[in-house]
Amino acid sequence: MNTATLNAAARYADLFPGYLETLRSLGINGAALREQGLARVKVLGFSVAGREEWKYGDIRPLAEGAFMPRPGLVKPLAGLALPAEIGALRLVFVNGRFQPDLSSPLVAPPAGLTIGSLAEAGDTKTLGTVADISDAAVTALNTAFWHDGLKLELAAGARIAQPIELVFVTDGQAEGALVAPRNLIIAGPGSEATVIERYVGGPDGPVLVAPVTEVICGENAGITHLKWFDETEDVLHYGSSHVRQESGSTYRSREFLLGGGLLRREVHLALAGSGATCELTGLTLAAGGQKADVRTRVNHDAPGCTTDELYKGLFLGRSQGVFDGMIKVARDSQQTQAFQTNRNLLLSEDAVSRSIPRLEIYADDVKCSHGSTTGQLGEDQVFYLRSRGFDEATARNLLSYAFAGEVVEPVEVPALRDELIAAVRAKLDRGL
Amino acid sequence: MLTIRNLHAAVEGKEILKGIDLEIKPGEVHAIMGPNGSGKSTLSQVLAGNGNFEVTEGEILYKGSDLGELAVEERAREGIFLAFQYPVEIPGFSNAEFLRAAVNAHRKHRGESELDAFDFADFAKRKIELLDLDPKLMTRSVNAGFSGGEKKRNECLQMTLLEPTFAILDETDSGLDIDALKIVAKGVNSLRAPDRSFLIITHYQRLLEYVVPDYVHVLAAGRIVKSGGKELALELEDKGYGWLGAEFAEAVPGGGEG
Repeated sequence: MNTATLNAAARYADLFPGYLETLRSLGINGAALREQGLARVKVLGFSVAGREEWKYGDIRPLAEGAFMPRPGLVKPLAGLALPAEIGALRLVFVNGRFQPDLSSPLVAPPAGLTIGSLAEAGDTKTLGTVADISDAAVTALNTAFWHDGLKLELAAGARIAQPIELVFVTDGQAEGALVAPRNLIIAGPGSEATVIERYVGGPDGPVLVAPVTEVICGENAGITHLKWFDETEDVLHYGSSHVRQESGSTYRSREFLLGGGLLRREVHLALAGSGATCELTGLTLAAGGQKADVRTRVNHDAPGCTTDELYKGLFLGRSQGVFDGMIKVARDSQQTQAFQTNRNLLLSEDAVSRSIPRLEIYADDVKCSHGSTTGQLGEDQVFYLRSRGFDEATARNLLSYAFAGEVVEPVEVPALRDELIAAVRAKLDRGL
Repeated sequence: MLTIRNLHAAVEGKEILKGIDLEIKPGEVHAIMGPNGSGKSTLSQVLAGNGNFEVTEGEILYKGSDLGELAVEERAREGIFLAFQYPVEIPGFSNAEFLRAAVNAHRKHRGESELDAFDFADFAKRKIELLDLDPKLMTRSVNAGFSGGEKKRNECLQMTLLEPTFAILDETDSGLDIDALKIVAKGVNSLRAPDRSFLIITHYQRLLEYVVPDYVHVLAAGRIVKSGGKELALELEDKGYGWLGAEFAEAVPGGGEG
């Protein structure tokens, strides 16, 4: 463990008592769980050495930057840019704090939906029960230092047709800040909703955005979780989703890693009840000097569950990507079906991607597969398109988009899908 | 339209074409026949501008200009079309979008306005019917999961949509049953015009019953060893290549795909 990483954990420990004071003055509670988070930060630190968690990812920028939790940043700067409305119930968080003025009115939400700021509503029962911090330093850091986020509860049988959109923005005030949104989604039995998490903006200097979202899918519940990361290159984003699925539930996670200087996204999912189904898809489109790192951990802890996982990556410029996926099938989880695929396209000579697809199977009656490919555009395809009159750059972009389309087209919210398609095409057009 | 003089071409340093001379005038249909490995497909790839094939000697003039100066896409926009022997699959790119974008690339080159999805659907409808293509193939990815016959007919559809001035059909008839063959022939014949020429590469005389050529050439070991009228195709069908004699026997290196 080097000095910088030792210092990082120690520094957060020093900041902690003052931080708790500030939270108390702001009326934000939950000190007990935060203490646990901090204790874990102190034990784990932010060292790479000997930590499987960071074998392929890059934690140094986080360890070396002196980020400060800034719960006092309550008002956004004037002229804040927000994404266009997509017809969703929108909650906006700026520098980690909920902004009612920029959000949809929440006075009369649809029947069965309880929604609002986690800082206001508090939670002493469920929070922290899905996200395991025992071996996860950044999740522990969030657990110690979060100061707001979403709390969403769906009553049994509530089916919410309107998508719920969370927009997390950092602005110029957040330079040097640790922004750690914490979200909690509790879907009661048989309920259904679509939740969108979007991360945009960024100050003109480094900021650490470290969100954690916990999701509980009750029996036969269905949650669609769309996540789009499109922050500026000054943003270090280390975030994770933690999901527990009860019997018969369905969870869909679709992640789009487009922006940000360094992006690390994790999905931790436990199939805890029999007959649950999850679909995990992702797209990384990295350019310039971006680093984008995806880590997924799926545990089949009950029989008869299904995982369908497909992550695709396109790497331009000098970008670097990681896909590190693991599906673990416990001994008694018979009739498991689990499929994991990772496909990468290197669009420049200097781009690098690493792929570590893994299955660990302890049951004997299962249907599982995993596969990974990394390659370049097919020159026969490029020639075919050029022979039909497409110039070479257009041909390459069309083929790149065709590759990405498989994970973009299924997005369940049409307005968001259209925006994503445009963003992917625009980024491919810019190239580099 | 097209003048080929002493054309030599190599792939990975191996010379395949060893001095081809060919003159194709506007409105003419030329057929090239010959055994595997004779260089038929190499000729088509060289004409389309495939960079894997290197022209080592000679020249190709198209409409009086040096074709070697033009990039693949420029050749296409100037009216050269190659119907591929093995059409390429492009998963994730819808056939309709592909066809429309290709047509628009040509229209833009000619200074014409681009077609939107509705105008394109109108423009394409009759041609899709002519080639008896399942309209469902328009919404699928380009050639992905198409049967052999569907791929070949999709090539013909592209040809009829792009209305080239010089079209090369590289074994478009291979693997087609007689009905599909007639459909392909119908597509080609619908395009025949005084200012449009065709180069049809084929193994069999069959297609030439429906698309009657003005000239037939026999290609062997990288050279045209015999040229004649349409009756030459029949002779080849009847007698094989052996009757061409010693000249031909010498020209058969044996083996390899052309």
